[in-house]
Amino acid sequence: MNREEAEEYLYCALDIGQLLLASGAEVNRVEDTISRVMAAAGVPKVEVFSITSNITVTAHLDGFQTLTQMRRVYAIRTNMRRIEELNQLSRDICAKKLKPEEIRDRIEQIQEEKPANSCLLPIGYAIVSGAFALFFGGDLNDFAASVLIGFLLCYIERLISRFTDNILMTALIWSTIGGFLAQLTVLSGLGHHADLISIGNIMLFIPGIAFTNSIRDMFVGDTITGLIRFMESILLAGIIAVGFTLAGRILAGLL
Amino acid sequence: MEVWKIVLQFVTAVAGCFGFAIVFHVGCNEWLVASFGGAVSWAAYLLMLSASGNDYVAAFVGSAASAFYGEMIARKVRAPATVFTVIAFVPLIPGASLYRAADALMNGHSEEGRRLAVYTLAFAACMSAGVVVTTLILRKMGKVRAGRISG
Repeated sequence: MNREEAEEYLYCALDIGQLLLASGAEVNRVEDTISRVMAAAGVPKVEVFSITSNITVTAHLDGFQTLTQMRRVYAIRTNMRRIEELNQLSRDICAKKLKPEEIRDRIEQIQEEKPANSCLLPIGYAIVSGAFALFFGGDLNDFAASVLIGFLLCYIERLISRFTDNILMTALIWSTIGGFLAQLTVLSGLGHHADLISIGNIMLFIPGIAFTNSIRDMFVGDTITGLIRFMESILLAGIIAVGFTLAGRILAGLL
Repeated sequence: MEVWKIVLQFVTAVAGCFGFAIVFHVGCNEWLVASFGGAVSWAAYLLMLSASGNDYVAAFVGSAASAFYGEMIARKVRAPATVFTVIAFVPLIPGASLYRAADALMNGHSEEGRRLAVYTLAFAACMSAGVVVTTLILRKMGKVRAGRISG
């Protein structure tokens, strides 16, 4: 294999890795996938290092030649379907030895594919909110209020993300509005317990899964990634608490 | 606990998982299988909680059950196991106590906040341990078996 070919393969492998990371895949899956793709391309010796925001790969070619490429990942949004498709793609690469052009086409297809259920997303938010309001002991009124707020919050989140892609900023605005809405439903008589209504909405955004996964990352040896996710989730949880407290205090001051 | 309360918990736990399956863009043909995992992990958690009386042990067993479920389904449908494992352990996620810890600390109840923070951390650590241990064991076993078949 010549250098240009190897560079092309490495570029494709990093495209896959970058998309995987941005869709919320685990770091060791990303590292594993890149090494496998490169091995299938005929470069058996590859060094991959990845954390949540960065992938660095060096491929060793014949005669002391090395190739290094780096990618930066900014925002992570969980998209399980995409992870599945990319996983299938990397299996196909290993089994059928796809050419770089074919890989590029497949990646483009996966990227362009709109999430099939993007119009269902508000319903998903509503279901999660309502289910957890009941789960933590709310009554039917709290359930109705939480479903309503969850549905609205999906659109509010979309609106906020047009102005800023800072996660903490989004969470602060979002949780303040969520707190206000919960208090309003109680004032209007629809809901009964503001805290139980809110807990349903909070479950949507509280980084409970990220928090648990961060400790799992540390368990399997990805300590840096684990620490980054750990700090991010603690900050995010704090900000969400600030938002809901703010809403309660401002409203209490107004009334 | 009364029976209707347990039934309600199961229904809402599975519904919550279903909602998260939509929010996390799980493929729509896998919504039901993925959310059923929530019932599996919650059942394991409740059984272990009443048997041992220890929340942390129950968290370990509950998340181990979700990882077991995830690995099994993943082998059936040839998809990454995380998809099913993450959705299955949603009912166990200490999201509420993570929020309550931050909320208590923000409002100056530092004693209560510290207690909740330690609880959340230990609970999440037990859950991660459950997932990691189960996944490791199952993958080792899977490799041994695959080796025997091909050999």
